[in-house]
Amino acid sequence: MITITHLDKHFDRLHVLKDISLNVKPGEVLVLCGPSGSGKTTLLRTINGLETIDSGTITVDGETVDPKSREIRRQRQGIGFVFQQFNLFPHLSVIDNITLAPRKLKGLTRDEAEARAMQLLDRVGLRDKRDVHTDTLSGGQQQRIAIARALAMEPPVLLFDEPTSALDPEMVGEVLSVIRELAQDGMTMLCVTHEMGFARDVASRIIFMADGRIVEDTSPGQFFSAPESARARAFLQDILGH
Amino acid sequence: MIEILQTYGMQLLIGGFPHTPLGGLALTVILAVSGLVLAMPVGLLMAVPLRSRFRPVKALAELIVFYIRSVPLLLHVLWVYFLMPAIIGVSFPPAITMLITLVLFNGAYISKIVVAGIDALPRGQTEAALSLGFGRVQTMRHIILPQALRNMLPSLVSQLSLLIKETALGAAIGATEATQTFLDLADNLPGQAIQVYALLALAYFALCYPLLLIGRRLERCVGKAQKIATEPAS
Repeated sequence: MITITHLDKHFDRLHVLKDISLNVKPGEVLVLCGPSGSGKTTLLRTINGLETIDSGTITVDGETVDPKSREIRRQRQGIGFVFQQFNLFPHLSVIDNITLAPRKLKGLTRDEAEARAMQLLDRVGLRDKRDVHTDTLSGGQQQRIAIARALAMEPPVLLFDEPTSALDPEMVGEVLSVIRELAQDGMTMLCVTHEMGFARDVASRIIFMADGRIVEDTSPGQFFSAPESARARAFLQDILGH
Repeated sequence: MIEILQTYGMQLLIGGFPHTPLGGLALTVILAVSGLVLAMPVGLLMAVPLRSRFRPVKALAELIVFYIRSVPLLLHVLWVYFLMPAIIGVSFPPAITMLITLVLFNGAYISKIVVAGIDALPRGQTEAALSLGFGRVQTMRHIILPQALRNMLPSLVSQLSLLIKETALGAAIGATEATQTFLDLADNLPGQAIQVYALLALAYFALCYPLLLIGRRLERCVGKAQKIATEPAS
């Protein structure tokens, strides 16, 4: 579904992604973890062309992703992205946040788009919020709306960039449970997160990154019980050890 | 002063109309309103090259806007009045010359306000729109501009109240707008200049004050909205 080969990327002189190769099959849930600055978020952003790459290739559904090509807009419609800071559109109501893209990009009528949006609001448990402005919602609610907004384009792939890092602890659960349900429905997902309990439950594979490289690509069972690298052991100790 | 108004009120209001082209306060209002209406889209258009990703285009636009903003408006008025006929061979009546100058001059200022308003929005808004599959133009139209315009309303209103007052420079090229009409009257009423100019000041105040009130109210609304937007989420 997603194939990345020999990807390299620099921010000026900083070599942030080094020879990354990765293959994601349909229905797989990959959790990307690793110390901050390891390149997880940047890698995620290259997949839908929010970041350019210096060399290597990224293909999604057999098509090369290139932010400079004309195809990128259509390709991005098939790759949902959920941001750490939600990035809801504050000038629009909840329902308009969800229906804007399907109406403008897929040509759905308002009625069609809203009917579909209501199903999505049901799915994230926020049906009663349809007409409110996004700034009245809690962080957890905003993130669930952001997930509904991404789902509205019916993308085969969803990318999550630390979806719970900006949330108060008591709101993490509600967002993770939505993502968990999506995983159970067979959605292909890549998720950057520090929620290791969630990773253990939901991931089909754990991708552990450090210093711009993929250090481990393994099953959650293997990763949490017997990580191969010293970096991963140190990381797990830091994050779980206290 | 009331006496002056009673005797010359009509003249101050519409100039020598219908014997001469419309003038006086009416011309000032027409200049101001059409200036406001035209300067806004011109400002938006001028903002496009200012945000261009092509360096030479951006640099040229910056240079033009910089020039317009660094030269006194009076000089621009004279340039347009004397130079344009020499270059394109068509001369416009003073009122039209004034309008063209006001629109370009205020367009340059508004373009800077627009750019600042756009740049002030979090980068995440653009990224969220792009990630859904919107193109750059659609992102600008549906996501960025509606938010940016709301944030820059107070600055726009204050720019527009400047524009109203700038119509007074029409007097320099003989556009018979309010200032010119009042100047003529002061010439005709020796010894009453203070009264005439006081009336003129009152007239401009009456035109600008409502805008000032609107601006203040907008500032409060936008301030409130921004407060909500920047309050920590979650």
